[in-house]
Amino acid sequence: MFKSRIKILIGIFCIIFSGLLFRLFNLQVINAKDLKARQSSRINRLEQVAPRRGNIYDSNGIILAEDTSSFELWIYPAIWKDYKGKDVEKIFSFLPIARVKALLGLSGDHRSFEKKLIIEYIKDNCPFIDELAKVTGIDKNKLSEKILNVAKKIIKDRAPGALFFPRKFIKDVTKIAYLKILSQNALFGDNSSFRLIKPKTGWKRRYPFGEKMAHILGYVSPLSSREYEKLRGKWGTKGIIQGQGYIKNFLIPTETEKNIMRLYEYNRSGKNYRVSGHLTNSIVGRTGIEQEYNNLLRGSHGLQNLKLTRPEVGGPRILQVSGIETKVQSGQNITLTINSKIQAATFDILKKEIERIGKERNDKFAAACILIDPNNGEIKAMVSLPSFNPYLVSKKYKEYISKKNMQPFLNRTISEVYPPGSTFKPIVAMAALTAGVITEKTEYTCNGLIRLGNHDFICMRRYAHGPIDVHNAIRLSCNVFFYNTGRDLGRQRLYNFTTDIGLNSKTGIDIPNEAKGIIPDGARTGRGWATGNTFHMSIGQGTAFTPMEMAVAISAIANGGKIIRPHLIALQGKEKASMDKPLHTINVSDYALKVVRKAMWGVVNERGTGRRCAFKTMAVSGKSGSADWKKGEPTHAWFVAYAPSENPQIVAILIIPRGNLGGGTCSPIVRKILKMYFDLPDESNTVG
Amino acid sequence: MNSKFKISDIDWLMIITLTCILTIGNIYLYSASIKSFHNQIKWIMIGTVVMLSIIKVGYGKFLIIAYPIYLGVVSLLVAVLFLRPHRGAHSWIDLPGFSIQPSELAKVAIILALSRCLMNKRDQFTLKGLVLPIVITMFPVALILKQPDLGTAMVIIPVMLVILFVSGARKTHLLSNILIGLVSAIPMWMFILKQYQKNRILAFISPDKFAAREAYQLIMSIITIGSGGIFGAGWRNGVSNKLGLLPDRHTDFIFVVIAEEGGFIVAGVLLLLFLLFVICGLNTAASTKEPGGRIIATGATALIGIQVIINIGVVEAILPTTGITLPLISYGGSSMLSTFILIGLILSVGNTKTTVFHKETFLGKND
Repeated sequence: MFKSRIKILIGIFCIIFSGLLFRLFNLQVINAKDLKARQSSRINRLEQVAPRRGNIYDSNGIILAEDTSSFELWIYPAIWKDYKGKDVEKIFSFLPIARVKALLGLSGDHRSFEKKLIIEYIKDNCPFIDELAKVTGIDKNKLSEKILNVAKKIIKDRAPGALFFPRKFIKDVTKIAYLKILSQNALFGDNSSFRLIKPKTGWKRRYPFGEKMAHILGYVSPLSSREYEKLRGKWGTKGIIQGQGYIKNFLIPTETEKNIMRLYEYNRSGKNYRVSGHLTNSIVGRTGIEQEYNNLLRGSHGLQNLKLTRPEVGGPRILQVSGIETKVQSGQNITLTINSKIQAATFDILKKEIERIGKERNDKFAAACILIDPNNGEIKAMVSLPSFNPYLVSKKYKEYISKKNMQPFLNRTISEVYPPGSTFKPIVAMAALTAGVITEKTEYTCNGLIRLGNHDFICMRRYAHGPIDVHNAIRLSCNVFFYNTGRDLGRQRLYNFTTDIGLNSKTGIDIPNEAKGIIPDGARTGRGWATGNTFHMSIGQGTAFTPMEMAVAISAIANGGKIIRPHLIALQGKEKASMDKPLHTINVSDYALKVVRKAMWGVVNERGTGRRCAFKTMAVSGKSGSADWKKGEPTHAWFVAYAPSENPQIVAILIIPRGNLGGGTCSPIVRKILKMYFDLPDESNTVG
Repeated sequence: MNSKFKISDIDWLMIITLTCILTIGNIYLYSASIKSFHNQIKWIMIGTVVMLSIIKVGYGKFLIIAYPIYLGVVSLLVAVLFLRPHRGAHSWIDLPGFSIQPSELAKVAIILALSRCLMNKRDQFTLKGLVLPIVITMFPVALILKQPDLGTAMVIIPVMLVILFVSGARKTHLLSNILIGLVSAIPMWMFILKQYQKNRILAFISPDKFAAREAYQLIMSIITIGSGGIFGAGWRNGVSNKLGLLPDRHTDFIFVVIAEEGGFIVAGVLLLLFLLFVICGLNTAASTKEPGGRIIATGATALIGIQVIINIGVVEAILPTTGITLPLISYGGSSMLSTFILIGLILSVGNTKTTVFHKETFLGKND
């Protein structure tokens, strides 16, 4: 009996042990692959590596914008301490999250008051703020505010799992602070007081010329959550983009970035997240060259493998870089046609001049100036005043767009249209001469005004020029001559020629936000087209163009009728040739060109309206303009010029809105700029 | 006493099995924790000496003093409850240089006392006869539960059932006992079990809902075993082991380290070696004609076998976490010592299988 019972016992043990063995087989052989994958997902992480943005150089190789390395602090909204099975630690544990949420809905005084209270709360409750303030030397109030900003961003970011990605929190700390935090985290691991903070090296953009180049270069800022959503498009169940997946003309994600988004989306539950970092932390260009060539400049994100390691037995576990999944690619450097020396000098001259004029007239003035090579469209300088500081955009955004402060954000060279006034007259003359409506010898008598119906169309200050031909009409800017010419030419031919010379379309310059000129038509006036409208248009009123469009039109006069494409990027070889090639040649007779160019030479050199732009050593051609834009306001002052007259190298366009007389206000400034450009010796300005 | 120590009578198969288990165990204990390995070697030496002395003395002498040993251990179990707790449990008694776990000694004492109680009786076939053995077992078990040490208590109860089964108790009686035990589990759950013990069981039932330590340990254990694969990650090369992702890896979860680094091959062989050991022990019990020795051999073997089953069952996540060590392999002096004492008793039984003890033997009339 005992023996049989022992045998039964042996049998029971055998069965149980084979059960254990089968379970072991099940785990280690049948399910091994799956479990191995789970093991590796616990130990391996992917981290995105931000690329270095390409530099921007001027035509002489001087740096206009560059990425320099910076030391950043990122903060984990939450970390899992799950290796020890403890609860998740969140920065929310010391943040009054409900109050932060409420803060987003507040405005005005309530908002600033509540914000102050929350900052005080963070200051009192954040466990690492004292040490962080000591290490970084940043004020505790400021640190609390930065933490609050991160919290606000996380709340706004509607993507689930947003909690598990570190956020940039302080952009720029000293190297010593960076190293201190890094070493403390490495030494104490989970016990470090900075365990929620991840020090990283990053890139920061430097603009050596600051506001002098701001309108050309633009600025950079991180991708917003909303843009990220646009970029991501809609995601199908199989990780395929089913939506836009890009931001038009601006940001097309690379394969790696799509991969990052895909991984992010898949692991957004946060349980087993594998990619750290978020594409919304990536830097994109805003306005100017930075935006236009963003896809070239930004490079491509890399992905690196991080592995949990423990260098010392019993020591802290740290995430170490174990390999590279996708190599990070730096952005391409680009070279501009801009000459930084000339740009800076133009900026300085212009700024000084409008300040001087402002002082004289007790007013504030804006200005826009373009220096462009009429033969190939290379822009040498482009200044719009007032300008903005590319480092302070996010801080002063409201100030920068307000009309009270003259809209420093507005790039007046391309984004704003102004009536051209008398600077339009050479174009009307060319059209009339080409059409054969007038010849060099055609004369009209100017009595100071011309009456049409019950309305007087006046000449400049009702000054009667007497019998006047086209040369003198341009030279002295006679309106009556052009009223007559316009009437004879007719609305349609005038419209066709204006379109032909490129004033009815964008110039195609390679920075965004370009405006298009306005050419009036009957529908615009509301009463149909009247002869009066033609009269107005013949002297450049009732129509409006951007200074850049005017630059293209004046270049066409200077280079013999070729419509160039103004551009900022300097290319090489074939690409350069195709960029420099004229878009088209306008339908203009050599005769017309010859007459108009001679007249424009006369404007400066024959005691015309632009006489204050004359040099002894160089012949300059130009045309002034004083465009009415609002009753009772001073006119917009224009001066357009090209030099040297016989072999034009440069076209200069200057407009000072509300600057009164073009000849009086602008032509001396253009003279200064041209003198600087050609590096001419000083001479006493005896002419005029 | 006509028992004589003869080398040829030793169960060599068991010795070889034992050596293999110890070798494999210590290789991987070294990998898990070098410091524990060094201590463990000391305890194995002490254990071997103790084991050999037990074989030399013979188990009979221990049967004679079974009750005094039992009473001594029970008083230790009472005493430990009044001492300063270690890690929240009243399980250790500090002595100069080392500390002992009375609950480990209680295993040996209970087996000896049960053998002494059942060896010459014929009334275990009646329900009344079952009262004394059950009281002998349950009194120390209650004290151990109070420590609290659920694991050891959970091992001793099946050992008692095995002993009763082998010594001839009726199956219906045993079944009714088990039933009573299960019913009494309800008040135990409500009043005796601590929250963390409940958590362990709840975590076992639904690991995903329990992100607590217990479930984490279970999930981590399965992942680590699985990632070992057939051939393992290699000695001292296990990822979870090196990173210390697995808690208690040199004690309760040492089998996970073996499975990760040695793979299915080593872990499976180890499992078979334990089975071989159990079969050897039970064969010893079957071959002896002396009822006291038979009960000792059965009880001791069953104790070791059940510990193995529960420990590996826990790490394979078929059983809830109990805190049972893997005999002969897990680091721990008291556990090692008690296991060696039990093995010494088994070998002693095998060595003296021809001897039959009579009641008089214990009264000192013989010899």
